[in-house]
Amino acid sequence: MMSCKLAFILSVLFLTGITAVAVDTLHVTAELDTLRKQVVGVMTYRLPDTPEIATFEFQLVPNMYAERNTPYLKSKPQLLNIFESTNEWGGMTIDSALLDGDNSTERVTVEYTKGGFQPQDKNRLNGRTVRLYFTTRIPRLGDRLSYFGEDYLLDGWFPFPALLRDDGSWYNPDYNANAELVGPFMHYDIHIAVPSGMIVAAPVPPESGDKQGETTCYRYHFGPAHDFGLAMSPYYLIDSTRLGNATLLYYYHAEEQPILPEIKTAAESTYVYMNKTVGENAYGRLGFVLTPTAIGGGIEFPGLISLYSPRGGAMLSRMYELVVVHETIHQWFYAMVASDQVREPWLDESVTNFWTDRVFSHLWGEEDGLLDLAGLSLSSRDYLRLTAQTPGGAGRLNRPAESLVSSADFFSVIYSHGALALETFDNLLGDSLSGIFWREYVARNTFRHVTADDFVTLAEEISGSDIHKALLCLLNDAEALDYRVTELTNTRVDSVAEIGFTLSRTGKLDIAIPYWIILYNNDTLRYEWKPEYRAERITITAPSPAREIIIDPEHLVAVDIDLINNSVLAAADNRPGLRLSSGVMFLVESLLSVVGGW
Amino acid sequence: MLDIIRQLPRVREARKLWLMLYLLKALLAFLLVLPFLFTVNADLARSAFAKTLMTGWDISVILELFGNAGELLPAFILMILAGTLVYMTIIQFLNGGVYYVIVSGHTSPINWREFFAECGACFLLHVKITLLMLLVYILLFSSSMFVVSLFGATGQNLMGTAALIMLLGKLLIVFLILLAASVFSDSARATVAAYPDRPFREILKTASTYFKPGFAALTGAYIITYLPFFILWALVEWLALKATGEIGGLVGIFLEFILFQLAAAVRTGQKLWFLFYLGQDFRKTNQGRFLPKQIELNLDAR
Repeated sequence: MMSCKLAFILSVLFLTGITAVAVDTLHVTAELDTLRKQVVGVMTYRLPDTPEIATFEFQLVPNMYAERNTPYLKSKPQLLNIFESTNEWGGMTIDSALLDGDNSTERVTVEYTKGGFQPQDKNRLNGRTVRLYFTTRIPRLGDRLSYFGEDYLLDGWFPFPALLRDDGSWYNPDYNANAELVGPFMHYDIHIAVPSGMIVAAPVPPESGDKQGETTCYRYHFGPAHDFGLAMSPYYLIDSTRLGNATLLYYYHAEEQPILPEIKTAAESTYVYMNKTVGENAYGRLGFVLTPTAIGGGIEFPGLISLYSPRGGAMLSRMYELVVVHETIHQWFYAMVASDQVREPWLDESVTNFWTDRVFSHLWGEEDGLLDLAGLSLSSRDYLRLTAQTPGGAGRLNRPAESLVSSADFFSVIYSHGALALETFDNLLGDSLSGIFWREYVARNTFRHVTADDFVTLAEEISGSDIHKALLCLLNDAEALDYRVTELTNTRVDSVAEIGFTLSRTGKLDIAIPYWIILYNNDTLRYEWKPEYRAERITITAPSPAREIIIDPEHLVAVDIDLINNSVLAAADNRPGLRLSSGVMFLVESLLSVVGGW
Repeated sequence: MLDIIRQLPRVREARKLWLMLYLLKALLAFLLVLPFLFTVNADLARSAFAKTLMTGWDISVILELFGNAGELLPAFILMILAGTLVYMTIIQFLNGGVYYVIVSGHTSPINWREFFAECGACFLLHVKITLLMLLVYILLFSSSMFVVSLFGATGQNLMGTAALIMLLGKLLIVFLILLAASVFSDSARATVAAYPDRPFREILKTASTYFKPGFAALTGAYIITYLPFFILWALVEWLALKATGEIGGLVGIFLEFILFQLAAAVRTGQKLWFLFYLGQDFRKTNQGRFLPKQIELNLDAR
């Protein structure tokens, strides 16, 4: 046992390296009651010695599922419908609380997901030990806390501390609809008893597994991490892959076997690419579990990923691989580099989705065939542009989750528009600075909660003031950005051509933007436009008239809302319009055949 | 099967009717698409970004187009809906003449005066059938979805290709249920052609009497006539992509347009083919007003 503890301490020191941060240990002893669908247990936490603490605040995440009017369920109609139809709600109660062994249950207050503890004496709480006895009800078909049949997914299943600020105050997040868990980095010492026969997927292998009658008690040591998720089922089959020093594990049901090769290809390619591009994953172990939850998609936990079981439709595209890639990338931007997903969700989802698109292009090329069916093609980037253009998708990126009314708006702004904004930033950095920036971002912030300021400051350090200014604009400007080129004229003056055209833009992004003039003699003239005004008429002379002018020819500004008006042709070409109309006419004829019978 | 194939010469004989029905569909579709062409062409013709549309169905261009002209899509959908309503009304008018030709067995030459007289005379009855069938389709669609959901529970654990096959199987079930209803609708329209003076309820009763014992054979016949069209449609889709992808330019676009129109015309022919089969089958038991005068006067018994 001693050697185990020593190995654990050494591994923590190794993982945290020179940037080691002081993290506390959270002890949880619990039992899963599969009959009552609940977890009962006790959480023990020794409060830190600094800074000075007068109160203790903790989080009861399962209360997000406690009743129909919770802020979380308000914009999750699908989840709400399930809970209402089954009348099985989740929730967490604190049965009793001890402070240094003394009963202090009456000093505990709970409001929604926020728990508070005010000691009777006015003494500081530093160094004192809090024990919370809790009961967690698991809802049937929830999202991050869920059971279905004999399968369980447990996240936020024990009370855990709020985030302690430097001044000794606590930050206890408001879990509204679009929020995800925000926890402090801690070491977890978890003992959990589950029915024997359950196959448990955890971010680390158990240190021990003692069978006691009908139950088996597993002990896990894990950290530093800001969450500890578990999944279990008596039916899991396990597959694994070794990638250098890392191990990737797959927990699946027999019927999910056919999808396994797709999951493995996407997960392993992503893991290798991210290790190489932004830095080694700190945990070196990652589990993928296929769990029956109410949502399609995946949920990330440090060292563990929950994926939905895909059905027929997903097989016609690479949509499922997109989910796998996205969740795998969260092991860097979420698990290692954490952020406040309530106040600054873009640091989590926009960054991850930007990398998702980048990994997708790396794995399957620019035209990555997210959808490629009967001549119809859609890349992951097209998908981002499509979903970023919904009416709710406009506006500022750097904003709290609660400012976005619906999940669709949240997805549109944070996932899609955010990814395009970061792609723009990354394009401005260029290949060499991009590598430096992202590696430094991960190295500097591993096992930390970053803020938008950290991101922006590092950008300024690495790239200089112009890109820093552009980044601020991308994050904070609500005006849609659009570059246009119009009114191309060619006039013959003596033996040269005088080419005139108008460049214009909306939005406040103040950067030099390249434009190309392609001449009729096939020469290409390359210039940059540093817009001082919203629109500018430009006239140049060239040996041959211009056939085509393109502003931002390499799609540097990925957030440009309209790419069709980024180019202008001297001679109109009706062929694309004719072809599209011919296809639409055939579609209309087919529709008329269906409804009219002919 | 032979009976079905024997109807092909009759389709050829009724080629003017076929052409008229196809042209009506094509003309209306063309009129509906014309404003779309003018609107999108204004954006696409001057843009290099649209070039990829000449060789493939690049969704990204279409997304840019509709994403930035938010008002374009709803306006176009509204126009299509209005156009569909107009088409449905014209078809109800023409159904009188078409089913008259089909049930009477006289195809060559079509007496157009008689044809349009029948169109006018039976218009309201065909409208009534359409309205009734709309209701039936809605009910059947919901109930077929229920049947499918029962299958869904069975196939819940399927993954990969098996799940895809299950999905196609479900779609096939919905298709077959709706197809049977469509064949009943054809039977009712054939009844209108044979017994135009009967009350609506009687028409439905006669149609049911005809439909019930033979609905499996009739549905089978529809599928047999539909299969060649389906194969041709798939071939057209493949060839169309080849035409634009490999030949390219205006020639490729023109070839693709011709292929699309060929598929649209064949679809009209397919329906006509099936109806000729249904017409001759219907006549065996329901001669109605097409009973030869000699038999009506009992001359053959004397």
